[in-house]
Amino acid sequence: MKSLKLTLVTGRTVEQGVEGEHGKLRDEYAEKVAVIELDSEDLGRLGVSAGSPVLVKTAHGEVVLKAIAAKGRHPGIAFAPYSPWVNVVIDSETDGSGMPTYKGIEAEICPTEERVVSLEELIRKHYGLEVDLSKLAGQEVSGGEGGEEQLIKDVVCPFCGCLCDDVEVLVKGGVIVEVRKACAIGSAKFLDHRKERALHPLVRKDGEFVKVSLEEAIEEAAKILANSKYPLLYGWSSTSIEANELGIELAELLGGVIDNTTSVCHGPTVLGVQGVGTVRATLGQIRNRADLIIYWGSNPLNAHLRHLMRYSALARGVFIKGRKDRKVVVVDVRETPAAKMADLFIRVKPGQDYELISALRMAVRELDIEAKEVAGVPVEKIYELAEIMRTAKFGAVFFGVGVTMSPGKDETIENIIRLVQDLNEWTKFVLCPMRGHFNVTGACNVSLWMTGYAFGVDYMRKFPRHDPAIWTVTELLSNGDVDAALIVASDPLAHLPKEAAENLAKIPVVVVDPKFNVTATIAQVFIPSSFVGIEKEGSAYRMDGVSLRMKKVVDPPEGVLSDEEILSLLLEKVRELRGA
Amino acid sequence: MPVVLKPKESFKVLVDAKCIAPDEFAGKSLDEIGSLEVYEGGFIRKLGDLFEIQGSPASSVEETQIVIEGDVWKVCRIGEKMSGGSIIINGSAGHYLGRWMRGGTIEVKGNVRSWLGAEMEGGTIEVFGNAGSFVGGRLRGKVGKKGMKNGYIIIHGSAGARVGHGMVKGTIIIDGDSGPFPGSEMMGGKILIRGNCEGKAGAHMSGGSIVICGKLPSVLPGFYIDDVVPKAKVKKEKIEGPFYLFVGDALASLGCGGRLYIHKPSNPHLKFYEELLEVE
Amino acid sequence: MEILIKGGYVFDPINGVKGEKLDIGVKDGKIVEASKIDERSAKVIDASGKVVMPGGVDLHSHIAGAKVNVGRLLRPEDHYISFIKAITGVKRSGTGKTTPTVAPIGYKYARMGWTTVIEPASPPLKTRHTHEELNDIPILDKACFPLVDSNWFVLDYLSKGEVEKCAAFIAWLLDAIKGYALKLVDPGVAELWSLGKGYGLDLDDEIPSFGITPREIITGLCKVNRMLKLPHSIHVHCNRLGIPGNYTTTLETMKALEGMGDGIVIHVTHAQFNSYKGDNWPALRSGAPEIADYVNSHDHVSVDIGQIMFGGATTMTADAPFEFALFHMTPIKKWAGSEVEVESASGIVPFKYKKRSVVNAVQWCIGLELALLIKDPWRVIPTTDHPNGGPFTRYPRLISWLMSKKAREEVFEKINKTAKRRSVLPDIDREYSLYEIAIVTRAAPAKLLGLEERKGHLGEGADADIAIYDLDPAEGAKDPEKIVKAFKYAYCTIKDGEIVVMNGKIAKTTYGRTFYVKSKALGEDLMKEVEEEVKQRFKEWYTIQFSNYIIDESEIRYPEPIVVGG
Repeated sequence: MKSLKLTLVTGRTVEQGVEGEHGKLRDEYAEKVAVIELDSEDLGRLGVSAGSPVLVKTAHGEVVLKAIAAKGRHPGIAFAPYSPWVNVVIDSETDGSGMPTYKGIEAEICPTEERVVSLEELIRKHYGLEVDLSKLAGQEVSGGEGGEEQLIKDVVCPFCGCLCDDVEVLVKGGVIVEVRKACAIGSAKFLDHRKERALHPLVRKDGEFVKVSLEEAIEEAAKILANSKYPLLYGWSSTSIEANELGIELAELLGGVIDNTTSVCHGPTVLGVQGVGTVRATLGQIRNRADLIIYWGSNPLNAHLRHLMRYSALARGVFIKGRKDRKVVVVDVRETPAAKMADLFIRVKPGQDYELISALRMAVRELDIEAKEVAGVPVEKIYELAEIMRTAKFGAVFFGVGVTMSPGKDETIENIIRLVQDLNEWTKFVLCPMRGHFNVTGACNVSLWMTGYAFGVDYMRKFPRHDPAIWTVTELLSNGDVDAALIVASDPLAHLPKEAAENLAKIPVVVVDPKFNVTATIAQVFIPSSFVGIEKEGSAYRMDGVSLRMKKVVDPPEGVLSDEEILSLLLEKVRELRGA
Repeated sequence: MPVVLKPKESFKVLVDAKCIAPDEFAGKSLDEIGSLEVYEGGFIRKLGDLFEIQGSPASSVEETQIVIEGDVWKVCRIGEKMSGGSIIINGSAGHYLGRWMRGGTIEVKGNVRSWLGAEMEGGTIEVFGNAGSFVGGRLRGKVGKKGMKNGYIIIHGSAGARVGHGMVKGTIIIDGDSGPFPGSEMMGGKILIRGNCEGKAGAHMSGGSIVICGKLPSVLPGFYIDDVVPKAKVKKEKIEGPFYLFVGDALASLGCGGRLYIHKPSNPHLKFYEELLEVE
Repeated sequence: MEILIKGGYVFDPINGVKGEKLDIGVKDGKIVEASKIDERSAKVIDASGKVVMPGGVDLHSHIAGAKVNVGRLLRPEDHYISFIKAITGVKRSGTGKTTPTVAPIGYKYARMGWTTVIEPASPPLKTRHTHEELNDIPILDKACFPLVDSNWFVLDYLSKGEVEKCAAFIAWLLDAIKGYALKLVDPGVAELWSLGKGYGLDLDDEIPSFGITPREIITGLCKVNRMLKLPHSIHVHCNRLGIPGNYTTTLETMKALEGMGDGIVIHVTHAQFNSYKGDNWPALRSGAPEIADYVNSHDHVSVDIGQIMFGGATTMTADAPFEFALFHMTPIKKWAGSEVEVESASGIVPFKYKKRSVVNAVQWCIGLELALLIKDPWRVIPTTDHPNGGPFTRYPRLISWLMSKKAREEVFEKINKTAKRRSVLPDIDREYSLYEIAIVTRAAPAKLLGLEERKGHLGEGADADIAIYDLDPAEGAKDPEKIVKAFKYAYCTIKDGEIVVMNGKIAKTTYGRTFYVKSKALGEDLMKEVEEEVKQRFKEWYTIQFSNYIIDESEIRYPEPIVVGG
């Protein structure tokens, strides 16, 4: 049978984002995310047509995904959206950074007769658990229709780190009927917040989910946590600052670990700053002044849809009026949609961003590079880019998980920060991480001011300790270091490498989320919560650290509490159980 | 007579047991050792709650021998700050093993997790299995000469990323393969990797030397070819080459004080560097 | 709860009490006459043989906000070495030595007997963040100063000579973001730093984009401050900070504001960093005598010293080009730069002050010279510009140097000898009395902040913020080590009538207020007109919506508006 050795890269896509908001337990989600994008050339070589299943094998496992044709050209690279399916083949090795290797994995791909399994089958096959998704079917929230129409302006969008705050939401009665100015994913989040909702707390009894009262669910959840020797409290990036504060207090009380999703997105960025510092600016400073924008391993058109218009390449600033006043450079392993609108596209070999950055630093300093090409880029092109950077009046690098997740991790980020620091000897240069979840920057900030560390914080000894090689979700779970977990506003089972996910499935888990998610399928207790930024106000931080107040535009479904309220109840109950 | 520790049951959660060190045991009775404080997750326990403890403790640190029979993969900080004596682990061990160690020996029959011998100042660590990341590494956020100051670490298996990160002096030998970034920010000392290296060797190094006997995918742009040498020397051992000798990392210091020995026969893809030597 | 503090030596400068044995009563969070307390039901604290002072007030300490948090992010190694363990129900945990987290900030200040602390530099756009941190600092009352010197609205109005409109903007801004006073940092520098320039910006250099000079910014904002009747003067980090020879700029800055009105019109902050003589670093000498002479002969200026303490520090300032320069001077190669659209910039560099360094030793002398040569204790405040000169936790040591020549001489034994020749400190015999310490650490800062009605004194009606130190004024006040010990761990600290520290240990976790200023000095029409103008330009200048810039009172844990000018 034909097979191809390719480099596997996983990442965000619009479809994955939108479908995720719709609900992850639907077949449509599987349809959209259990896929692998292959270059047409590679499809041809494999002799499969788009839409056929292929078997993806790595050193860590194998899984069947549906092959689809890549939109941009990237021969030799296979791209898959983040999903529980592709996780099966992901390496849990973090190189001491807490970040698994989601990108640049050697994979063998071949045609197969097998089909793509359903989520239930996947969980049975890989985690040895029987789940009945019918018990986790979300409901559409009803009622509240009709009545007065009200246009709420300047609403902050609770989807990505752009935190667009100009969104207009038209509410009729208690229902959102129209969303203006938001992007496709943001709109979906507002418009679909009533769909597929989890409305009842569930507790697993004799292996079966049973609907229970909120009191009982809180009691059960508190018991799990209070009886645990060392629980992990994970998630936190899609909820408010206020909820994070309570989460940290709970971790302190329990003597457990609290980690936010930074550890699997921009953890290396945090670690890079720990090593060498940073040079940052608010997005307005960049919009107003930057005549050079570099997107490095970041894909704004797939992950931060309004970024270009509001803050970067296409935005109208005070001194830089728009695209024509700026140079745009894209550095990526594949030709992303953003690459097509760039003045210069540099294709870097997967996993070699570090080398390319070093070469650029050499070129910026006018030092000789002995190799003829670095990371697949001819040295002349590197000097060309260095010159573009040095002669810019104000340059900005937006780097994404393409850099943080590629081998090298925090070393790569340190190097890119050093590059920007070096460039400040010549001109103005700043960099900004493209943060994903709407409040992941806030989760880091509140963790910093309360614990001294941005993520991966241990309270074993009743004071905060931090080491990403130990106290991060992937490390703790893949080594089986914790004996219970509280998951708030996150879906680790959908995002973690198999080894970690497998161990999560073995311990009692409490899930607090507005919708049933993949992690809920293995939970012991599930408590539904309201959507921060839609049904509950609270603070969140934009990717550049600007704090904004999120609005409540409609009431939450009846009986559904906010993360803040749920955590307050849990704190109270755990205190009682621990006899404090 | 050593003090023998045997886990009473397999550990379910991380355990912090920095008291398992000759300096803590020396001069204590078995009862006193048994009541030393450890953390099992968020709970304070006595060492004797988690381990069966037997043997007869010595009165001095130097004479103290600790033997752990069984798996302590979840137990961290064993041998922290120890200044003498020995620890033998007949199993696998957790992270921070021998951190800030000043003297004595640690021997591990199985594997170890991250930060083995981190920031150690002296003594010897021998691991028969594999080691995780940051062997002999400098802790995060620290800069300058805070890394491994002296001592000797030998791993008979392979090691993870960033072997000898920020090391100042001492020797680390990896008999197997190494992960990426060995010798990152290294300022002195020696690292020998007998197997292959995942890449990015010597990133931001400003002193010391790294010898790689196996394959290295590429040499970082901040390095310059300096010579081809027949042999490399680590801890009196002469290692047969020939080796390409690179100096760097120019990005860390223009003096290029770091030396990178890359085995020539294993790395034919680096042959193009030889032309640069001939030009001189 | 009612408390009776019995038999302590009371130092209450605002009420002229100089160490007399007095009883102090506390009821409903306020100070009352001792006779009004029923001794049988009240909690009685025996303060005999101890010193009783109002709670300490720090008017300049970087404790909260984006910059402080990036400092924490930058320095995990600072957090490994210092931590507080949680005790359920009593205190929360935290870490950090020079960049402590919220809990150690509150607890360590309280343990020293301090109860009110001001964050002195908050870019308005990031002030919501500042408030969120302030909300989480236990025990203390607090406030923050917004950075205004490079704000485009300010520069625009001032460059057009529209001082009234500028004042209306400032009044709006303070209310909108819940700020307390105006902070100027190397006035105008952030605007230039946007172009990579600004290092060494002097008083009469022009900022081309607005055709304005730092002198015009300072005088303009001083006028604005007076017009709005703000409780604190403008709070100025002078131009050319940290550059040898800068004392002339500092003198010129103070001179520029002569005749601006009665009372104090400018507070020159961390003046040590701006009192340098000599043409370059190796030639650094003290300019403190000249600065002190000026302050002694002019009553429109107050200063805080910005003392350096030998050991680790984390420098952080809105003076971005200075930090970039410092990054090149220190072997600790970490630099965090940041810029905020329309408003500000900043930089952070970890630093270590070394005893053997001539420069650091001279810096050490300069700070103390300022404190000892300026005669009026009501106008010179000992600070370390935490964490720039060193952490605030070193205040007890600083107090011992002020109180004891012997303590200063002991330091001279250990530091670079050249410093002795380059400064006049060895010849200064002055030693602060406990009464003077009470002035400079509580009464004076409270008064300078305009909080003297409720803070910094023990008269009836004041907030019951009280520190009791285990120090006998007769015996202990000459022994530096006893002074340090007493101030490091207060015997008892009372905040708003609650005992928060007992025997040097945290007894209770409470949360204090956040003060902010509402000025009603200007007419409503003008305020409306300017608000409209701001709204108009906001969209073009900023990337967030006007309405989302405004911080609601509900976002602050215990908001406390101070209304002025009405």
